[in-house]
Amino acid sequence: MSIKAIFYSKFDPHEGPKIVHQVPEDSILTTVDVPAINGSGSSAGSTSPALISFPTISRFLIPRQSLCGNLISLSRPPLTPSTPPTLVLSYPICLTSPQYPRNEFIFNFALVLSEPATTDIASYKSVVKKLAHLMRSLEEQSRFLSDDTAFPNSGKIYSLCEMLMEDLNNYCECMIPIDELNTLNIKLFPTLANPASVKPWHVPLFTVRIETMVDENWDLTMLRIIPYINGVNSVKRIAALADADVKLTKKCIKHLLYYGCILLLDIFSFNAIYAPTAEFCDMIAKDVEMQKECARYVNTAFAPTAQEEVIIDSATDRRTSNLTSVTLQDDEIWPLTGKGDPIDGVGIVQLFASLRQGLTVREWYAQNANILANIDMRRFITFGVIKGFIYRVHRYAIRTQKSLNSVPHHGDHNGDDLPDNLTKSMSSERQLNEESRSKRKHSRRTDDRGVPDHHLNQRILDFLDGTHCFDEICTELEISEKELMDRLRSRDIGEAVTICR
Amino acid sequence: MDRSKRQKQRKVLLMGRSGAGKSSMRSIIFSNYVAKDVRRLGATVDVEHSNIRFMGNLMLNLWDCGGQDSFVESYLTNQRSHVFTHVAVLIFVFDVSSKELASDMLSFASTIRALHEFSPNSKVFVLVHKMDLIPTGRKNTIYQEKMKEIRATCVEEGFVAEQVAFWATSIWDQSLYKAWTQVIYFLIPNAVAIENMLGKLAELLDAKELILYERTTCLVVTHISRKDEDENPYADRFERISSILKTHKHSMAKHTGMMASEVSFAEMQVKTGSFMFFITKLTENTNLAVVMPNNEGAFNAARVNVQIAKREFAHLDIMEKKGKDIQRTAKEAVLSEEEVGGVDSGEVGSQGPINDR
Repeated sequence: MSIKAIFYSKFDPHEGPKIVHQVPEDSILTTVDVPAINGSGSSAGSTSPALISFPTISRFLIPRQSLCGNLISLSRPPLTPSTPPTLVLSYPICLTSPQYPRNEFIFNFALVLSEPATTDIASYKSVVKKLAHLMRSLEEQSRFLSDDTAFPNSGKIYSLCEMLMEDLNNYCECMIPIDELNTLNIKLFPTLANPASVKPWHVPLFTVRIETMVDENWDLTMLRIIPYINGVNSVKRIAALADADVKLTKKCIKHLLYYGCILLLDIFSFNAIYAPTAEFCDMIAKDVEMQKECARYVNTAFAPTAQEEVIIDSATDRRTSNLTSVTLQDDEIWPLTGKGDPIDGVGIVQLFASLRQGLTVREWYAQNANILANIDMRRFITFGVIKGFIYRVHRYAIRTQKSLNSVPHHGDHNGDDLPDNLTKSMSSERQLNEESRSKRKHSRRTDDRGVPDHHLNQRILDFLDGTHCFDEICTELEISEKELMDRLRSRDIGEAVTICR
Repeated sequence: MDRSKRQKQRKVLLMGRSGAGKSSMRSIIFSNYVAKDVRRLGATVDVEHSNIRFMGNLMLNLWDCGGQDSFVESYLTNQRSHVFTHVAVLIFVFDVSSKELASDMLSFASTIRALHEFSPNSKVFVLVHKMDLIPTGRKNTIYQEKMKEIRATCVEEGFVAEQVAFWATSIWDQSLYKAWTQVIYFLIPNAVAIENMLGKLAELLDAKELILYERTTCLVVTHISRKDEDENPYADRFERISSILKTHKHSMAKHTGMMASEVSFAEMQVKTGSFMFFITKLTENTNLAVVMPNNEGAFNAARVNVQIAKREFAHLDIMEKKGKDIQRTAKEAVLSEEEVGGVDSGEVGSQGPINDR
């Protein structure tokens, strides 16, 4: 019920700015006097109290010609203490033509919104703009507005405003035919924040039941990649599995992210390091419900098949296909240790708390093998990341020094200490010196795809400026983290410092 | 406060019913519109403020007020004191072809009532406009009738006769310039000083007439007529010249592709059998027109002397330092050229106690 009133005002050559039609009637005062307040606080005699007074704001609604053609929003202190605060959105338009009595026709369709603090103003702004542009076209084509001689609050324009207000308030959309050629189509689109950028090493996970929304009319790439979004596959892997272009895949994922259908995680591996965030104490450490939710999610006794990986946001039930709809008793949810004792909420919190910087998942498992016997580790970690009290500690590498047997680098100069790894040279020229050529002959190890060794090292060099995490390097170059670490340690590329953050 | 000593600021209200011709007049006089162009103007929404610098020492704050009913109501009620305080001049425009005479008069009465409340010492210029729509034979009668009516209303509202001036105007002839010349003349702070200097110069040159024009608006600032020029039957010759100068500007602009406001000329000469005339730049903001008797020698001498006198007249546009006597003779000025501080456009002194403002 956000739209309280809609009114149409114009500049009359004799009377000046005036309101022609308003819905509902008397919601906009046309005189300066504030209505007398009787004991109940509402203005006597009218069905709804007046919201705003037109003469006081007329200079903004029908402004001088240079201000026309812009969206103008007004927030005015309420008429009386009991009138709720309102926001007026308007788009005055000035049309110039010798046909009009003073060479110009200035008009304005304005919306009065209630509770500006809580409504989505941006979607109404586009409504006002669209309405203004449509009216402008109508006026230019057929003098629709200036030929309107109807009595105030009657006629076509009035009924148009009336229908618009009702439909938008009730259905959030409207389709109103104006004449045989023109229709007013308006829909309120919620404004969502721009999505974060999607990288090939991000792992998407659905937060909605996507199969209830998909039909065969959806985009081809989208249809192809949806089966592979399971919280395990990275974007690059999804593209490979679905045989889709990586760019298109990224775009689809971005769309899904924008509409809140997925969230992005990181690639799970046993080499990864996770640590608690600052919110740890306020979330799972205190929240018993969250602990129970976690227990239900990670207990391998209830594990669904691998294809059904979905987490419903803040849902306490799990999507299952092989679980009956029997409600679980409280004590049944807690997973059991290897020895058969249940792990309660406290135990779960302790498990999470034992994650820290410097401790890989593998090591953490080794420390807690008994407790983790019936807990799905990936889900455990994922639960923490989604809720936000665990974060992934990424590794970055910075090249600090060139190696003595330097790999030929683009445009290399001897004794050049500048961090050339920070610049990505696009030059295709390579200075091959005698040394490296001989080195190449010696160490001609090729990796799986047959690319010469030094070529791969070359590409690794580009990533060694401290801003590319290992996930990124491994995904882009399609090598394992172990191999990356080996190469870095081998000093073939020079000295590199690994940072975890 | 200091600023008002150097450069006189004058608030001028331009009011009247909607469509009376206020914005048209303003654009012709101050914005170099041609009478044909004003047909394209839109209605004035609320008040258009312009600050017009005149002669270097006069700043006009011109309030061109929209004439629609709701605006007028606003001026008379919630904006009353804001609009009507510190007014130097009210120019009220009557559309002589209007069919709503009674309501026009009512509106006028309310306006000057508010004016009298907040600026009782202001001057009222009533322009009976669009006179071109009246057939020539009836012009004078109608004008006199209107003048009588309006004068009566003014007296009712407390304005004495000297405070109200009447002019019949039309954008299609020079009457527009005549009326506005009077408005400007009333507002210029040092008109008397200028006239004195011009008078002395006229004596020296033995000129028939000297007319001082403002450069951008081509309005007459003042004029000196000597000897037998009072018998000249063309009483409106000064504003006709204004009109000619304006038209010349527009022609120049059209043919050279410059803006009308940028156009200027160095000198124009007209020689006939009965007189010789030249007009030349005098100061940064003024042109001087000199009418000489039919004598080649005097004419050339006059031209040279005006060139020499230029520096002295530059004082009109800049502030006099305290203690200096501004009433110099032209002879002194010619001799003591070195003393004159050059034309640095700085502050301007308030000369000539015309009114205390």
